[in-house]
Amino acid sequence: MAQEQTFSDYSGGMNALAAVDKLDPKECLLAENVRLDETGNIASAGAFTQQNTSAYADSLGNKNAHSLYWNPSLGGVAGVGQDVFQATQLGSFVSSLAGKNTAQQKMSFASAPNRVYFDVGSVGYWSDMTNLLLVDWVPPSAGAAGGGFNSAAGNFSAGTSSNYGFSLSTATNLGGISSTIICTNIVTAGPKFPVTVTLTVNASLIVGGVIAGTGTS
Amino acid sequence: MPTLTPAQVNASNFGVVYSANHGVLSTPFVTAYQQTVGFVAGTGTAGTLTGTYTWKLTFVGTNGEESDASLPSSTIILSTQQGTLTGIPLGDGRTASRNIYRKGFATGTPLTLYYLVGSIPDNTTTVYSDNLTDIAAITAGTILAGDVPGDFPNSRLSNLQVRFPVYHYDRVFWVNQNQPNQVIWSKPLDGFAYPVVNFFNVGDSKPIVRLISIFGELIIIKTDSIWRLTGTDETSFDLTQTPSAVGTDMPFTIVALPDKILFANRWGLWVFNGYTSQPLTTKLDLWFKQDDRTNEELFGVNGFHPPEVASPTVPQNFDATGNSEKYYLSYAEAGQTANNALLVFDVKHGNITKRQTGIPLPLSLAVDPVTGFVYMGDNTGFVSLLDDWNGANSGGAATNFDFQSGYVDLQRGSNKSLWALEFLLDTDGQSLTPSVYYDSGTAGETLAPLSTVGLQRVVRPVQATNSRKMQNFSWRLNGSINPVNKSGQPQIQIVHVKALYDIRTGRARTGQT
Repeated sequence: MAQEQTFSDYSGGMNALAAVDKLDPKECLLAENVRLDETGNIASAGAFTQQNTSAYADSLGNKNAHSLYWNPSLGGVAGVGQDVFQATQLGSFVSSLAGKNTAQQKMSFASAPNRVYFDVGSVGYWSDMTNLLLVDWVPPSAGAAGGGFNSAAGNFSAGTSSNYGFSLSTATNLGGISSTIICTNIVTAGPKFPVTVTLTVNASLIVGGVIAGTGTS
Repeated sequence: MPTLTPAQVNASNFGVVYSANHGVLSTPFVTAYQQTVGFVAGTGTAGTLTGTYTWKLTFVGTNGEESDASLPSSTIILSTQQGTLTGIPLGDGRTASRNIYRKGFATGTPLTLYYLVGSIPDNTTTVYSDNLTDIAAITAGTILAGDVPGDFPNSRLSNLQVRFPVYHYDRVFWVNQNQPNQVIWSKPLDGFAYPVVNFFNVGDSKPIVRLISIFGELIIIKTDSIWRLTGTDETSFDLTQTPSAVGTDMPFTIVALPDKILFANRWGLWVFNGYTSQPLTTKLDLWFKQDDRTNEELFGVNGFHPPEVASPTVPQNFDATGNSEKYYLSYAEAGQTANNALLVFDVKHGNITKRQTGIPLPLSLAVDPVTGFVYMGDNTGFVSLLDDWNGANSGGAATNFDFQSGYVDLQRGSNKSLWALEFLLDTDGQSLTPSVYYDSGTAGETLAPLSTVGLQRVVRPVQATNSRKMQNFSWRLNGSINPVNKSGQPQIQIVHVKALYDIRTGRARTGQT
């Protein structure tokens, strides 16, 4: 005699533990892209919708969006390849830190007031969507007492009348300058003694772009 | 030689030019020394200061954070003059202003510490004239961080390797990767200042994999245990170990919900309730233990392969996020090297479903803390909204809809003849292909596709030999759906499935003919 049985409640979802013939009638073996609604029906799940119209990629072409942070009150940060992207909208990320995550290590994020802190290759960074900077904050430099010195060296003959022939810092708040000149003469020919060598060095101090004084040795 | 002002010395066109005349001998070798960038203190015009002073500067951030202080300036002797600072450095983009501190050495000047004497309210000005009297500075009473015993400088993070930040009681906590069982933290309201005393070690040398601020506590998750830091500030912080018998080495599977922490480890999904950890569900126990039913009892386009748990590194990139309704776990199936599948655990109802498997790979997940919407970063450079009820498809492609029931034994112990299945469903004109599997997957058949417009009953007779003598059966519906939603309504809706069958009467084997 024909019988019938109706199964109308599928709210149990997948069960990978019970024997396949001992699942609760509400449960199932597979539910992919499926929504199990509150009434026991089976429905198609939501779509996934791309937020950006063109793919994000680092400068090497890596497209792995391995890390993602989103807070609508601040913005979003994504680790894509070796770069860090950010923007106030998920669809308009731009690379703001290039090449620092060479191993494409997953990043972790912490929301803070007007800030998000995160690690890039185990280095602490933060962003307010305007700046993306190291957490490490280099303090102001002091000149005279606390500062050190840059030095550079070279053969004078490569210079011109207005420079040394090699580079020094071009920062605008340099504290001062001094120089040492060493002239080493090795005689390889001619009469041994007496040898008379005369070296005249003129040094001009340039202040405001004009010679303020000259010394001669 | 002229008398130079600090501004002249600091100007970019300040320098020394040499010329040499040495006849035919070797070329003079010149070494030049140039003072590094930095501010310089000097005497100014007539003012109120008399004494011997030095200055220090700090950068001040837009949120009020303050950098560590500069080294002191050179000592300047003033006699009813102002102090003049030139060449004041500009800070980086976080800098909103700069603070100026002064200390006095001369007899009679009471500034034995660096007191705040002024502020430059921008990040552009490079000169400052200090004319604040000592007594005014003391009255204001702001002393440079670290200058008072018990206080500590706003030390830099420097080159410390750190991961897993969390914001907790106005402080930023990190795990020190140079000593992975160590937590460091910033000063309150200053995520850029890390006093050297702000650290503690958590248990043995096993690494900390995540920090979570929840329940007013800092929960510290290690590979084998979970710890809690109670207290609200440095005077009350107290570290204890919870009774949780498990931890995890999958940092990114840890998700804080308002009342619990969910996480995965190599044995399953867990819930930490603030005191201890318990299994979130037992339904995945065998799955985590690598029981793969795919293509044996469970079919489908992608099946349900277990996660990779043998690799020491791959599971460390599993990712998860969640909201008050669902926990999303992105994982790599066994043998895969990157996350390629997505599991969804319904926190409210306890059920489990899958999402798209394959391309694109769901490498990362994030939740919108306002709406609860879940986003996915993939391996093709896209960020996508998941479970978009208003979205039409899966990143421009059709969505694979796949559902397979458990094996139904309508009357245990008896053979049955299954005659037909009746589906009450609405496919909105799209096609679903039904399949029926018999006796735990040892046989099966594919039925004619289904397509309805509106909710309709559709009967599909079954014809396979095994259908007439089966012990149990499982039905499956599969289709490539596009669009998957229309006007916010799912395009596939299945209300019920009815089995039409007979019991095959058994005959006792008596030996009689």
